[in-house]
Order: sequence, then C-alpha cells, then structure tokens
Amino acid sequence: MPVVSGFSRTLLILPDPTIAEARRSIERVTDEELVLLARQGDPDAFDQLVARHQSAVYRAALAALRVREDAEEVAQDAFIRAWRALDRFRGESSFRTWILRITWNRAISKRRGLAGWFRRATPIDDVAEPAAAGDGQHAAVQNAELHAQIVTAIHALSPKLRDALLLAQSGDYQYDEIARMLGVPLGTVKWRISEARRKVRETLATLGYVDAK
Amino acid sequence: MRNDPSELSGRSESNGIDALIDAAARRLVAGEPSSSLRTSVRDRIERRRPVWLPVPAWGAAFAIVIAALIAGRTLLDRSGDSESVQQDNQRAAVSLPAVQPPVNPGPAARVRPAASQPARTGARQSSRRLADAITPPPAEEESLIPPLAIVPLTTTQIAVDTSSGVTPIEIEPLQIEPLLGQ
Repeated sequence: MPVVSGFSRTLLILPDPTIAEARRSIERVTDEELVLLARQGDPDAFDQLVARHQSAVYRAALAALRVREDAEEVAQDAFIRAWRALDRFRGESSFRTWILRITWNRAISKRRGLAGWFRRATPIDDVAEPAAAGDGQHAAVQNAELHAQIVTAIHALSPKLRDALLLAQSGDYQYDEIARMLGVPLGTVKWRISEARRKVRETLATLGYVDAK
Repeated sequence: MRNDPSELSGRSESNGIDALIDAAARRLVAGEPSSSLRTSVRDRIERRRPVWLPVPAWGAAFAIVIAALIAGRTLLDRSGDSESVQQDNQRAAVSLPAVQPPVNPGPAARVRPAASQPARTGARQSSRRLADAITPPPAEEESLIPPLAIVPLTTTQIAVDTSSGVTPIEIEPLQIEPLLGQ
C-alpha cells in the first residue's frame, strides 16, 4: 500500500524517465487499492479509476440510451454518484461491476424520461452508415441496405432483448458482467441475446434478405 | 473480452447472418467518450462546497417565516389604522344630526354612506378602508370643531425720547402759487 500512496501527484512533478516508471507503477495498482485511496479523499486515485473504466461506463449508457450526449451525461453522473457513495461500497463485487450497475440504473432512469424517448425516436447517427467496401457498387449498396435493415430490426426489438444484445456486442462486458448489470441470471442473458438474434433474423427473412431458418 | 456468438448459436448456417447482426450491434455502441468526461468528473469531485451550503435548510425556511410575519404585521397595522380612522369617522357621522341642523345633511350622507350600509365583502371593505384613510375629513366634522378664540394683540406705545439731542423735523406745508399770465 505505501507504494501507491500519492502516486499521481508525484506524476505531475517528476522528470520524464521517472514518469514512465510511475506509469508502470500505476498500471500495477489494483482497483481495490485505488478505491481505498479514493475513500480517503484522494481525487487522483478516483481519477485513475475514471480513466480505467470510462469507456465501459460510456458504452453501457450508450447501449441503453443510444444517444451519445445522453450517454456521456449519464456516465459523468454515475462517476459522481460513485465518488459520493464510496463509503458505502463494501467491496463485495469489483469496482467495475459496481460502477456499471450504477451506470445502468441511471441510464434506465433516464430512458424512462419522456424527453429521452422523443430524442431516441429519431436517431440521427446510427442508421446512416457509409457503404461497406464490396466487390462492386451493387454489392456495396446491398450491404448498406442490409445493414440499415438490421439496425432497424435491432431498434424494433423489445428493450430487454436489445439491451442484452448491445451490451454483449459492445466488447466491454462478459456475459456474467451483463447478468450482474441487468440483475438477471446468466442463463437469462444468454437466452436474451440468442432470442434477439433470432428475432432480427426473422425480420430480415420477412423482408427477403435471408433464409427464414 | 469479446463474447463468442457461436457460444449461443451452434448452427453454422446462421453464423453468417449472426455475424452481420453482431457487427451492426457493435457499431451502434461503438465509440469512446469525449476527453471532457474525465476532466468534468475531476472538476466536480474537487469543487468545493459553497459556504452557504452548510446552513441547514430550516434556517432559510425560518428566515422566510420571519419575513412573512413582519410583512403580515405591517399590513395588519395599516388596516388597523385605517379601521380606527373609519370608526372615528363613523362615530362622528352618527353624532352629526344632534349637532348639525337638519337643513343641509346632504354632503354628510354622500360622503359617509358606510355608516348606514350593511357589511360588504372583505375585499371591498379593505379597499374602502384604504380610501377612507386617505380622504379628507368631511364637512360636518369641521363644524364640530369649536372656533378658535383670537385674542387681540396688545401693543405698548413707545415714548419718544427727545432728550437725545435729535430735533424733530418740522415740515412746513408747501405753498403753491398759481401761474400768472395765462
């Protein structure tokens, strides 16, 4: 524990060779140690936790809200709440699981807001994708159309199925993490992801893109 | 850390379209938070609490209650003053017929009708009280005031002292002679 004490303050004043060493030492510091320091009021330690988990937190919020500004706002709010509630963090789960759970709850609360619903009703940046490079122009157009149909089908899923699918594909979470985040058993998460894919396939088959199998 | 789709769908024929579905889902949640996220969090957790924040909320509520009490008391005092003025006026108006000869009761009746009218609504009464408070006293009240007895001023005559050496000026009357020759 003495090794990590005040590491990031030191980082600001050390010359370059030492900075590299300090960075290596930061990487060796565990989340639990950073949480202990943050609990003592060290903002640098908490800043390091933010740096480590901000991507996962942001993508979880984005999976729920699908609007980047909202996701960023929720991510920020989640970190602030975590900072204020550090004394109540008992360490029964990892900090990552805890902050993801806070984020998900905040995101779902925001999603239930009417204003957020209106904004998501007209998503602006998730359908207009550039045409993928294919064998030719025709193939590129077909790919773009198929992609747009898949996105539309994903949006049409029920929130439970869509959340599970998007969280699983964000690349940040294992299935068991998703299960803890959503507060459901692991088997339920797997079933929801599988069911989400099946429903999208079914929609594409109805549109004549793929086989109905 | 990527989850394997084949773990959930064992059929190889659906793997192709599942891969497309997964890719589309992945693009929906792709991206990184802006650099301002970390700095914003840092700023917020380091921001000092304002000095007034430790003041409990009941302190502010108490101040509001005190202010309301003071304002209410001021209003009550004002209405009480106007009411007492009105009551004085009413008493004067009631006692008026005994003093004033019944020759000219018109102005008094027009000026002070509230004494003989039934009670009105609260809003009208309050506005009436305010009007009474600023209107001049009616004419019959002036007649009740006893006239002032003016005592004539007494002046003392000052004797002219002639012993000071100043001789009084003697003015001879002008003698005007008429012009001749015309």
